[in-house]
Amino acid sequence: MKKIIQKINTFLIEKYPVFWNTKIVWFAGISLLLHLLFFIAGYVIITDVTLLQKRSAIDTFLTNGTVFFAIIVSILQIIIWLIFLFKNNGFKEFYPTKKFSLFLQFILYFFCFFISTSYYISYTWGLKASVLEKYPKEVLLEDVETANKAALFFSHELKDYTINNIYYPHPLDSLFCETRPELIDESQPNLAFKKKSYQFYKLKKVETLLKDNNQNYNDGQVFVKQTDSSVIKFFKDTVVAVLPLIKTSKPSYFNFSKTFYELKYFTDKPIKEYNPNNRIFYNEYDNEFYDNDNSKERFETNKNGYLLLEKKNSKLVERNLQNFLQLAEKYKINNNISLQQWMDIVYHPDLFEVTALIRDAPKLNNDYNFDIEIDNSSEFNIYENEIRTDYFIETDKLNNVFSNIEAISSTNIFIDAIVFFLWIGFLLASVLFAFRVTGLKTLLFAIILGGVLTTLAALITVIFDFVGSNFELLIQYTFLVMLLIIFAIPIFLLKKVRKSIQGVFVALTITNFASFIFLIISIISTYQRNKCLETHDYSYTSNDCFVLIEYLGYKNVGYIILLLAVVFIFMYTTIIKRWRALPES
Amino acid sequence: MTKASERIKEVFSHLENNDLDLGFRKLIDCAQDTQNLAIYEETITLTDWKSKHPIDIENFVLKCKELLEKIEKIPVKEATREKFIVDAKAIHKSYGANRFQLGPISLQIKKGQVYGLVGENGNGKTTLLRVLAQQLSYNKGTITYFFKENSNSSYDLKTKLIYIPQRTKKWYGSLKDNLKFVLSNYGVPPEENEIRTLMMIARFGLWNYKHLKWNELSSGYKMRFELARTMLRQPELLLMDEPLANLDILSQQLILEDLKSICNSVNNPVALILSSQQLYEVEKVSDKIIYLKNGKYIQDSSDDSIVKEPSEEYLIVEIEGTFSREELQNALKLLNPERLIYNGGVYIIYFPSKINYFEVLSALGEAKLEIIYSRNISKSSRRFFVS
Repeated sequence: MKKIIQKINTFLIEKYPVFWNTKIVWFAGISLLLHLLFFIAGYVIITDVTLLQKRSAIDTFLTNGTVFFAIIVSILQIIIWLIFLFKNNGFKEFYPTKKFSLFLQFILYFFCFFISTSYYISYTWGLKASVLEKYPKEVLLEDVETANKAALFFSHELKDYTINNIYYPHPLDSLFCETRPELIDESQPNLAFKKKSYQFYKLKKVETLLKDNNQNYNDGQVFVKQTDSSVIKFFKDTVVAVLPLIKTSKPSYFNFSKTFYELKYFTDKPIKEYNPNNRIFYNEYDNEFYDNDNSKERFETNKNGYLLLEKKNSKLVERNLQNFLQLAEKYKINNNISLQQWMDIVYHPDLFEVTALIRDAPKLNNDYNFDIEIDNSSEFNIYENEIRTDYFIETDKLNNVFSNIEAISSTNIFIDAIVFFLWIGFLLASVLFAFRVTGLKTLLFAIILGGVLTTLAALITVIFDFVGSNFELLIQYTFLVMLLIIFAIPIFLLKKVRKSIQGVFVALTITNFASFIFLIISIISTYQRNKCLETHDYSYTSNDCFVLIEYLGYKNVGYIILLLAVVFIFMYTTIIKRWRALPES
Repeated sequence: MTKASERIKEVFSHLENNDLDLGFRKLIDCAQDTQNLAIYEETITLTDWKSKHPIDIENFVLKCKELLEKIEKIPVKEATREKFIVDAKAIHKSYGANRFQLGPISLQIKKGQVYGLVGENGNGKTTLLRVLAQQLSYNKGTITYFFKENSNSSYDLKTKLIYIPQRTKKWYGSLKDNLKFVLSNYGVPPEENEIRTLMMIARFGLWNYKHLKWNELSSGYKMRFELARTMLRQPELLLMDEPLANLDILSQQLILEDLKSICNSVNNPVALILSSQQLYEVEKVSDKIIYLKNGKYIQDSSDDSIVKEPSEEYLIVEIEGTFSREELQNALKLLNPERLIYNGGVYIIYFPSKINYFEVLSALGEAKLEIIYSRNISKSSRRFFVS
């Protein structure tokens, strides 16, 4: 083994001195091995399915302590590497160093830092590989369907089964159900249960052009839709007597219209993204109506449940519940209910009224009802508490499992996280590169000068802010001017200023060029935002404006700056060499 | 007879006279002159054999002679030495008003020449060397370098200006790796790297230490390593600041002799400027002595082109012994000494230039004074070091 190592070292020192000096072969080899170990750790950890029951299992690396282990490994690895790296420095010894060779050194530092700090990627990749293997898409889709079919009978919250949830049959899906007591017109047909009233209205819409909109969103409308050119306001119209359309006004399984788990990634439906020109403003007091945006889904869910119940076929219901209990066992979802007990609770084939509730978590010893504490006059809450049994199914955890499987399976770890680790690598590499080409003393002075200039810039900004200038732009311009001066001196006045002072500027340039590009993009964006807000009325938020940094997206901005900064380092090697060759004063 | 033949003949002579260490070092110089890898390999094999058979002198001499005969057959291209490698004109360096000032100094040096830079501490030796190495800026004057290949950037020029400071840098890792790293940086083909490195290791007597680390070496061997590292860079101009400091007298002589021999290479001669406090040792190997006093250049008398100093009108003798000043004055009374200076250790006596050194020795002998040491320093830069 020792002989092989020696042989490789001899080959490298004779043919690729930069590779030998940076110990890249050994460092990369060890890093790859560690990446493999982290991958295996990520792969193995998912064997425990209860891990998926927690929220954001994709962040397990951060939550289960692996991150600390990885940081320690990275630090140790980097320290040992630096000890070997610092043994030789051909550039400082004035050995012939080509421009590309100097740049290659930087790239190797960059690579070493990147590869030794990015174990998160391998770990999460292992996690993903494991989830993809254990829970393929088809299996997940089946399981979600099973869970969604059984969700009708979860019986966790009484409010999910009250009449205001009903969407089927038509025209119930097009009506608005008023639940706010002060807005119930008692003279008109309405329904009540345990002192809660429900009144159904038809909706009328008033459309105005966007430019003519008076911006008053609270003039009695239920909700507002905004499109590219117009604003449509929906107002309550006439009351509709719904009694002939419904089975019962009491909470019933016929009313249930919620979807237990809606697929986010494994679906053909486009992901709902924010579009400033196509949005809905809800009446801020109308929380009950908030889900109206999903009216089509709710209609479908309600319809499926309704049609199932109408068959009054206990076998069909039983099969749904049985399938779910098997699913619960598969994902180790905690519950204390048997099929028969569940059937006893839900199967009342006359009107399928909700007469007992199942908890979504085990009953605690000191359990008491918050609702009653807060509003002990609420008959509805008292009733809900009365009918709540000690049975429980932790369905929220199943929801988390589905959500986690979907998120982990769909994550593209290379695109999502790589830019972050590339930046860590780049920043560390630029500091190390500045140290290698200038020296420790110079780098320390550069850090001190950087601190002093930042403080000075802050002071200047604060002083000018008193006279009412634009704070954001002012601070950006102050930094821009300072950075320009720092960058310009080694380029244009190399022989005019002392070598030691130039060295500080060179180190600052190497480490700060990226922030300079960011500053420019930032100034352009701030200018665009300010200009846009100036020329539009107050309804325009900064989200409505074309802003470069937001148009490109922060991730892309990260890549663009990184690329430009790396190209800059390549070009700057000429200046570095010229500075290094300067005689001392 | 070519220069290469002269050098080979000299090696034969050393071998005949059993000056084996010196002879072998010079043999390696001759081998290096050939720039022939086969000869290099044979030299390395011989070095290895020598380290394994330290007492088999007879066979060693035989093998050396065999190798020399092979070397003799290889034609060596003689490098030109006529042109100056550096031409400094009236350079002046100031550390600020009322502070130390160096110069104006003008000097020119050719390849193969050795310049000794002497002077008391704080008189500008290091400053001059660093100015010539472009490590320090200067205020006035010009320095022009005439290297084999033109430099295309200031950094490129710095790679050719090899300066070895008094306190050499600390090195890490094995000697061999550090030396190989030099060659690979200089673009030496991989297949030649090992051979050239071992050749230099052999030349500077580092054969048995090649796998050691720098901090495991003594001061003398550290300097040898530094020289090996430097010579691998194939310098045309070498500037050394106090290379003899911290070395014992034997090592000093050895290093100086090595430097002289290497600078005198047939096809790769080096111009060397070295500063030192070891006046007599340096004078022995130097073609010219540059004496600096208060930053000014006081020329050596051996240079006929300059105006002679008044001190050169005297016979100046340095004497050390177990006698009193009065006894010495009485002994030399007849020779009419003009000045007698005692600095606590030795006496420096100025005689009229018509007096010969042997007359001084004779007078001392007649007076039966116990002499420990005496030297004629009329033409040595030692005469400048008189308080």
